[in-house]
Amino acid sequence: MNNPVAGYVFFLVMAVLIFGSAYWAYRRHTVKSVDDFVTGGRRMGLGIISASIMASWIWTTTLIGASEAGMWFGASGGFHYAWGAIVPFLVFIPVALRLRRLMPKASTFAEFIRERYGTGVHVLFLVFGIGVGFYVYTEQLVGAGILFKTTFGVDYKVAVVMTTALVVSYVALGGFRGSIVTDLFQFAVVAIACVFLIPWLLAKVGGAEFLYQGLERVASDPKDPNHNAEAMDWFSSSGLRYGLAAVVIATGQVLLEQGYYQRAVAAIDQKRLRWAYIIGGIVAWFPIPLMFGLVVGGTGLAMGFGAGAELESTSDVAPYVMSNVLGPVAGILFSVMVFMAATSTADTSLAGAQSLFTVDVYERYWNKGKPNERLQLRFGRVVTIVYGFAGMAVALGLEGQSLLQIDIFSGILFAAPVAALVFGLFWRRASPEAAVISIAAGLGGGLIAWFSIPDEDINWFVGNAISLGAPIILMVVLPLLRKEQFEFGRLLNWKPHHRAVGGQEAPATAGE
Amino acid sequence: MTQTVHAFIVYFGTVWLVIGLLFVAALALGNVRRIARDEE
Repeated sequence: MNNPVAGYVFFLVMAVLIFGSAYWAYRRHTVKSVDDFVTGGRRMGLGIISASIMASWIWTTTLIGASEAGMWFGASGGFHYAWGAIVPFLVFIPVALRLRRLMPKASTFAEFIRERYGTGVHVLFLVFGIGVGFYVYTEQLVGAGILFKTTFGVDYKVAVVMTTALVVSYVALGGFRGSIVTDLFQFAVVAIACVFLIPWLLAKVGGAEFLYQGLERVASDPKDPNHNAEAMDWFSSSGLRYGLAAVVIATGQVLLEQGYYQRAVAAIDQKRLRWAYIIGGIVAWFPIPLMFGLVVGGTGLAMGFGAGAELESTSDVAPYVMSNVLGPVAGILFSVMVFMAATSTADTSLAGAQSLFTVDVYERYWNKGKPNERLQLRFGRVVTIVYGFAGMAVALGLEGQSLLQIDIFSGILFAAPVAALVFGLFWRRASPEAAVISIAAGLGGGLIAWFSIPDEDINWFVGNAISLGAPIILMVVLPLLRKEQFEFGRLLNWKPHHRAVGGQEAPATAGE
Repeated sequence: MTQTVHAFIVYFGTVWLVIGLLFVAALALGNVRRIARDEE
């Protein structure tokens, strides 16, 4: 469909629905305090957090990239995408539980870092935390721009500006609550679309038998445009390497993303926090990339769609299959899904960065005295707008760039601090010096590997592995050289400058 | 991978997708209704 007017109408309808739901929530519950602005009152139930986790972890690349992985790796492509991206969530659950147990009144992970390692490391983690959010947010804007350009023929730059204005407006207005409420709406749309599209496609092409015959041909016929001898191998070496790379790349994107800690802090109690991440991640999220790889990518293989022929590149397989195999209604439904995925992830990252600025930057560096919560809220809203439009400026400059290449490079940048965070949470002997050295070594080693290894098939993998692995080794070895031990008990009574609820598990009356 | 195993994964995955999403939707809806009732 190359109809920009239809694209503008599509955007207008989506914008009214998304902003309308956020505004409705804002009118029902006006934000009165900083704690409410960044944690949503800490009384969210299991279902709301689960749905929000699923909506936030569905990126545009989850739908488009998992289908493409199905084209690349055959039957196992979607599976390798799914397990690679879910492992960091399984690591995140004990990290979030531990953080909440140690500092019940904290609302950001950076507050823990400051108490645990001191101001220098706090600043370092703020840079990384804000950087991760900025990267993820910007990538979603790029995804939305590509969606409008390829589906409707809307100018990429116009689409990026429109999407930015929408996301910034409802996050600046409602803070974390605005992000959560829109997540529910976005979850509902993605869920309805998935529940219809996958069984519909399966029925249309003739079931699993047709997909299997296609895989057999791709594996055995060297003339097939997608020939891959490992297409039927569930544990192919290339697929496993792809999954492993996804683990490394996604680890920093999850463990340094304040948006996920916000959801952990917002849960009523620890039991619901744990189950919300398991249900949202494994029950709701995992089957989506699995099935998009298996069925959508599998349909592309079985029908012999090839890059350079029907498809411009294998990235186009999902929109092409939806529009050309199922028809224009499915094509539009898929576009709605991708737009919801882009905005829900963008608002999670934007709200996460908003809380780091509103709480950590404002209370510790902008206004060190007794803060005025009204001014602090205003600061948070202004920063959200500035940060949001700065992301837009970068997204405008990324037109035509390979998102996959940027994603791989981001793994090197953001994996290095993970070891210092996790060891700091669980080991008394982890020291600030070891934290700084491990981050510098991981980041430096990863970048050196990326730029110095001439073979482009392995430099990204070695770079990512060093960035994540070297800090783990250093965080084990370096603290053994010192005798000091951190006393975790003193964190229990820690309080932020603003008024914060928490400190005891809230009674399970709201939303549960 | 045999055809039977492939078919099992495809259909099991489809059921998982549908049931999983409906389950979370039901949980979320229950939460929203409870919050609305509490606020009243």
